[in-house]
Amino acid sequence: MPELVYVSPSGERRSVQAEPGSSVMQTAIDNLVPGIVGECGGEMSCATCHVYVAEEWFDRLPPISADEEGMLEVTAAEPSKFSRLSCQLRCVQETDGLVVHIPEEQ
Amino acid sequence: MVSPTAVGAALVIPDLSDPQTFVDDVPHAAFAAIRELPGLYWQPTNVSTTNGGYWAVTRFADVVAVERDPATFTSTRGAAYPLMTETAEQNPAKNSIMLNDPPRHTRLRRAAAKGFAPRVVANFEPWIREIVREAIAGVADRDEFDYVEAFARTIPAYVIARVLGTPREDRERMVGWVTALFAATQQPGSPTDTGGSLAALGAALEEMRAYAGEIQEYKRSHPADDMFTMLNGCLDRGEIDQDEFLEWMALMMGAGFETTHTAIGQSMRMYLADPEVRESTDRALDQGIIGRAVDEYVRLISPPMEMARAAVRDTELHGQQIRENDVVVLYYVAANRDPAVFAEPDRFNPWRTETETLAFGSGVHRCIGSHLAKLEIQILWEELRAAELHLRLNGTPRRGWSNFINQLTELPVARV
Repeated sequence: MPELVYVSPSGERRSVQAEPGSSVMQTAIDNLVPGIVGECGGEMSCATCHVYVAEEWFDRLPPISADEEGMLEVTAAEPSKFSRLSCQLRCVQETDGLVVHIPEEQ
Repeated sequence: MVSPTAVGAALVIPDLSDPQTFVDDVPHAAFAAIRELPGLYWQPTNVSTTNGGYWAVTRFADVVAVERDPATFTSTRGAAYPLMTETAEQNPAKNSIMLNDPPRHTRLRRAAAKGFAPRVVANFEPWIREIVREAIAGVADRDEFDYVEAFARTIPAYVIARVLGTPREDRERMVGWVTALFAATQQPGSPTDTGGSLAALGAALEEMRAYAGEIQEYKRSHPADDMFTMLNGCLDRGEIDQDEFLEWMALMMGAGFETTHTAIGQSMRMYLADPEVRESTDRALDQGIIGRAVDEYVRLISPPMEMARAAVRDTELHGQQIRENDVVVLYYVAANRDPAVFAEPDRFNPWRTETETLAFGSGVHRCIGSHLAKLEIQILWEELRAAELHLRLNGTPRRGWSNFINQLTELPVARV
């Protein structure tokens, strides 16, 4: 199972084994990782599953769609060039070891 | 009339489908008893059901399980009890986001989602504060007044008007339609009898759509930073069609007003009636965490007490066999006091660590306006304190006639 690392705003690292095919948002919810809300259940319509992808991982992920880009403009925490909505990131073999940083607020 | 069901020796579970059951108070003791029963509780009723009753879902985890599975539990035959229909086609609000499942739901939601996102809503703060201050100024020379009229009916109506871009002078019209809309939900009717609630609902919606159409035209020549202008853009880009546009606007008028109206009135009632609630709210204000107190208010109030779904196939939930076409009513008002999730669930405690609630639902239909609603209520508490407006109960609060919304229609208060 692909490994996924969540880094809390205070720098605490939490590693979990993700269900293959599950989203980074859903994996956080299922593992009670605080700081990722995912209000809309993964419909890309609430902007409450915002994460900052670790720099070295960013270019290895599938590209951002126009819809995701739109919602990233309105996240609670200021987005950076490494921002993604974690409902749009699938945990697969290629993302084994992915590191995402959780923002201060959602 | 269905005879009440006896549980154990003492408690009788009242008819949850009857608005009369909710007139004095929400039957929390009955909900607590139902939560303890094995499986799900079958509420027999012929109102708005096809199988002679509905399943009452009262546990937190069960509500979440239903809401995260729209492929099994559809919203297309109604989103709340008692407005369920046998088919999607029969529902007068069938083009509404609330009455749709993914993928149509997803497309509709996205049209307005940005407008209610956290950062966008945070920018509303200054003008919401202005509206709240105006409401407070409005009672400056009155020693006795109805808090529901002065605050609960005014603030959400002005806020939603500003968000949508409708003239403030239209407040009375809008409040009138929305009140008629929710009153319509309480008229007897069934999926096989298109009279009663569905016809009344259809009539109220028709007027709201006509109004939305007028404003839509006006905004064509007077575009502004508001929801009408934004959704006109979605329409022009082909993201939504005209029916969907009008339904979105009717929904925002209705949902933006009624639930926040309920939360504002009921929260003040709790504050005035319960010394512990008052003390905790004041302390939360001192500590700058009034947002957490607001979360507790909406959890305990659960303005829409329930939403509902219909099963599209035979399935099982919490060991209960559910048949195709069975209606399941998701009682947020009960799930939000589930002891499996909340320590001392009936207690108002802004410092509790279990903060996830179902006050706004969960899953794809989770309330799109939750950030806005919470901000309104939060600002109201802050401004009441800043204005040093101290109140006491000055008569008996009056509840509404509804098995759907935890309505408070009158809250007589006096200055102290």
